[in-house]
Amino acid sequence: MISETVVELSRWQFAITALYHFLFIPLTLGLAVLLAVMESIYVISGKAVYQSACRFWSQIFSVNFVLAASTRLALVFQFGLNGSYFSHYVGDVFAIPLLIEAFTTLFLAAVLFGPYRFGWERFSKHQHLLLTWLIALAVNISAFWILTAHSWMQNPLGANFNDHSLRMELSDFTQLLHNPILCHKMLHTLAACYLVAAATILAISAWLLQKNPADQMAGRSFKLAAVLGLTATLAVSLGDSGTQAANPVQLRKLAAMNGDDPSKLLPEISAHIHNGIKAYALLQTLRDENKDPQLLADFNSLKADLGYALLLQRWTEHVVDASDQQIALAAQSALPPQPWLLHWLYRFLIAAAIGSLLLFTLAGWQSFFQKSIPAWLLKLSVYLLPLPWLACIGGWFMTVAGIQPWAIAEILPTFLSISSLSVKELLFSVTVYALIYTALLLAGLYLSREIIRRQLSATTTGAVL
Amino acid sequence: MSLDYETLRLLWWALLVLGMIGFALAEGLLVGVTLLLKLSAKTDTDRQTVLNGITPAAMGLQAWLIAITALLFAAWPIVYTVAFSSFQAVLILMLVAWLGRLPGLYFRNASENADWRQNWDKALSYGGLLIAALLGIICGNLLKGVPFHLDSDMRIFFLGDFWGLLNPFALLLAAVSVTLFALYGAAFLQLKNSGDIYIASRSLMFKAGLAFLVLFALAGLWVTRLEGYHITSEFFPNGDANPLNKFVKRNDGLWLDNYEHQPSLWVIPALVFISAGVSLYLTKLHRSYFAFLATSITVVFSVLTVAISMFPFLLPSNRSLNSSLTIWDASASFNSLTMLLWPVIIALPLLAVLSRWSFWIERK
Repeated sequence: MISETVVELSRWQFAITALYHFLFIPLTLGLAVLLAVMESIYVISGKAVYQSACRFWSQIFSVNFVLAASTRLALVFQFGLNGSYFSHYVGDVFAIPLLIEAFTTLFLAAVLFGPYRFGWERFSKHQHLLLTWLIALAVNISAFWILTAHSWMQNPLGANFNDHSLRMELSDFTQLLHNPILCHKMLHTLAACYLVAAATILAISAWLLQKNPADQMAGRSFKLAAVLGLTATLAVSLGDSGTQAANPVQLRKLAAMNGDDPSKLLPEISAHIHNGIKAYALLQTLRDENKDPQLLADFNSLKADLGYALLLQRWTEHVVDASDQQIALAAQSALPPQPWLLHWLYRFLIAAAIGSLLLFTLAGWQSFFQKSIPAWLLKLSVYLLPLPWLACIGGWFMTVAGIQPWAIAEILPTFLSISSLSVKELLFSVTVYALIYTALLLAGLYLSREIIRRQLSATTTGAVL
Repeated sequence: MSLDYETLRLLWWALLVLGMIGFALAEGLLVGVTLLLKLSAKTDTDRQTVLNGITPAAMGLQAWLIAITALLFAAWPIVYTVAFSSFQAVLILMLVAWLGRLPGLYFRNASENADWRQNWDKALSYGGLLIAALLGIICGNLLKGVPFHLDSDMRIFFLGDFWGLLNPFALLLAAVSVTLFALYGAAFLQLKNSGDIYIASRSLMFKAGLAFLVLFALAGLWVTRLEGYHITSEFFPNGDANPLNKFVKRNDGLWLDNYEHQPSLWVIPALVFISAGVSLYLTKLHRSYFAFLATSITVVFSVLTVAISMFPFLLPSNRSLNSSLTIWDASASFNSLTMLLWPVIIALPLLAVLSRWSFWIERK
C-alpha cells in the first residue's frame, strides 16, 4: 500500500515547483504584451517618454523572465521525478502539448530573449520591435499549449486505455484542441494574468509618482496599466469557468462551490465504482493472455470507469474483492475534500474581481479626465497590489483542488500518480527546492527593487536612463 | 504517407539521438565555458568578457534541455519516467546548478558589489563542473544498467541508491565528460577571445584534450569487459509498448555486438579520437575556428558512440533484466508518434539554425 506521508510530500513538492513557476507567469505574459504595445507607440510616435518606459519595464520583465525560464526547467523534470506513475499512465497524451510548446514557442521566446535584451543598439527600431512582438506572441501561445495539457487533465478527451501497454493512449488529437473547457480557460487565465500584471505596473508607477509626481514615464505607465487592467478585469469575469461543467468531476466541484449537499452525489459515484471493479476484473483476465473477443468487448464497454476502481487502491490491494465499506470510503473520497474552502474561495475571487474593477476604473478616470492623480489613489494602488496576486494564486489553487482526488479526472487518482520514493528522499528534495526557490525569489525581488530605485534617482536628478 | 510502427520507432530513435546531439552541443557550451570560467580568466573584467560570449545565447541554449526532456516524455514516456525516478538524487543536484545558471549569467553584472559577483562566479563554475560530472555519471549508469524493476502494473521501483550510482565505471565516464566539455569550452573561448584569455584557453585546451583522449580510450577498453545487454527472445517491433514481453541476457562485451555485425560502425568511435587529435593540431597552428569545429565533431560522435553501442536498448535494468527498456517496447503509441513526427522533423533543424543565429547577433 502507498504511504500517506509519501503522497503528501510528493504533492507538496509538486505544489512548490508549480506555484513558484506560476508566480513568474503573470508578469511574463502581461508585461510582454504591454512592452510590445509601448514599443509600438514609441516606434510610431517617436516620443522619448515611451522609449524610457520600454527600457524601464524591460528590465523588470527580464528579471521576471529569467526566473520564469529557470523554474520552468524544474517543472519539466517534476513529472518524471515525482509523478512517475502519472507520466507512464498518461504521458502518451499529456506530453504532446508540452512537446509542441517546447519545440516551438518556448524555444522561440528563449532564443530571442538574448537579442531582445542586449540588442537595443544592435538592431534597427523596427527589427527590435519585431523581436518584442515575437516574444509577446510566443509566450502567450505557450500559455495556450500549457492550458491544453491542463484542460485535458480536467476533461480528458481523445484518449483511450490500452490493455496491452496498460496506459492511456492518444486516439484523436483534435479532441484535445476542441476541449469545451479550453476556450474559457484560455480567456480566463490569460485575462487573470494580464490583470495581475496591470495591477503590478499600476502599483510600481504609483509608487514612483508618489515620490516624484513629475515622472512622465510613470504617468504614462499608470494610464496604460489602468486601461489594460480594466479590459482584463472584464475579460476575467466573462471567461469565468466556474459556472461551466463538462463532466461529473466538475459538477462535483460546482456543487461544492455552491455549498450544495454533496451526499446526494454518492449513489452515482458508487455506481461508477461498481462498474470500475468489473472493468478491473476483466482487465486482469485479459492480461492472462485470454484473447476472447467477447471479453475484450465487455472490457471496452466498461473501461471508462476503470479509474474509479483505482480509487479503491488506497484501501485495498485486492480491488476486485473490495468490501462495501471500502466502496463507501472510495465514493466519499471522490468528492472534493474541502468543499467549504472552495465555497469561500470562489466568493473571495468574485470580491477580488469587483475590487480590481473599482480600482482600475478610478485609475482610468483620474488619469484620463483629471489633471492629476490624487495621493490617496496612488496609495490605494500600492496597497491593493496583494489582492490580485492572492486572487490569481487562489484561482489556480481552486482548479487544482477542485478536481481532487483526481490527477486526471476520472482516470487516475492523485495518490497513485507518484513515484516510489522514500520519505527521506522526498524530504531532501522538498528542502532543496524550497531553499533554492526562496533564494531565487529573493534575488529577483532585490533586483527589481534596485531597478525601481535606480529609475527614481535617475528621474529626480534629471539624469538620462 | 503512412509508416508502420517499427519504422516510426526507428525514426524516433534517430530523432532522440539527434536531439541529444543538439542538447550536447548547446549544453556543452554553457557547461564548458562556465566550468573554465575561473581557470581561463583571473580578473573581473576578463570574467565578464568570458561570460559575455555566451550570455546572449544562454537562454536559447538552455531551452535545448527543456526540448529534449519534452521529446523524451512524449515519444518515450516510460524511458523518461524510469530515468527521472531512478536518477532522482543526481537530477536534483543538477537542477540546483541549472536553476542558478541563468540568474547567474543575467544577474551577475546587475550589481557592482564584488562579493555578489564572486559568489555568482563560484556558483557558475562549480555548477558547470557538477553538471558535466553528473552527465557522465548518468551516461555511465546507462551503459552499466540501472537497478530498476517494473511490476505487472508498470509501476517503477528503483532498487539502488545514490552511492551505488557513483560506481567506478560511472566515475570514469564523469571524468571523460568533464574533459570533453572542457575541451569543447576551451575551443570556444579560444575562438572568441584574444590576449590573456586566449593564451589561457589554449593551454587548457591541450590539457583537456590529452586527458580526454586517454580517458576515452580507457573507457573504451573497459566497455569491452563491461557487461552489455542483448534481447534473447522474440520481440515485437510492431506490437503495443509493453517492456515486459521479452527476455534479456547480460554478458561481457555485448555492447560490441553492433560493431561486430556492422564493422563500418567503428568509424564512429574512431572519429572521436581523430577529431579530438585534429583539434589539438589545429590549435597548435592557431586555426581557432576549425579547431572549434573539430571539437564539435568530437562531441557529436561521443554521443553517437554511446547511442550506437546501446542500440536497441535505451535503458537496461541490471536487477530485473527483462524490465529493460528498448526502442521496440518503450515508445509512445502509434498515434502519438505519427502525429508528432512531422512537427519534430521540421522543428529540430530550425532549433539548430536559431541557436546558431543567436551567436551571430552577438558578433555584430
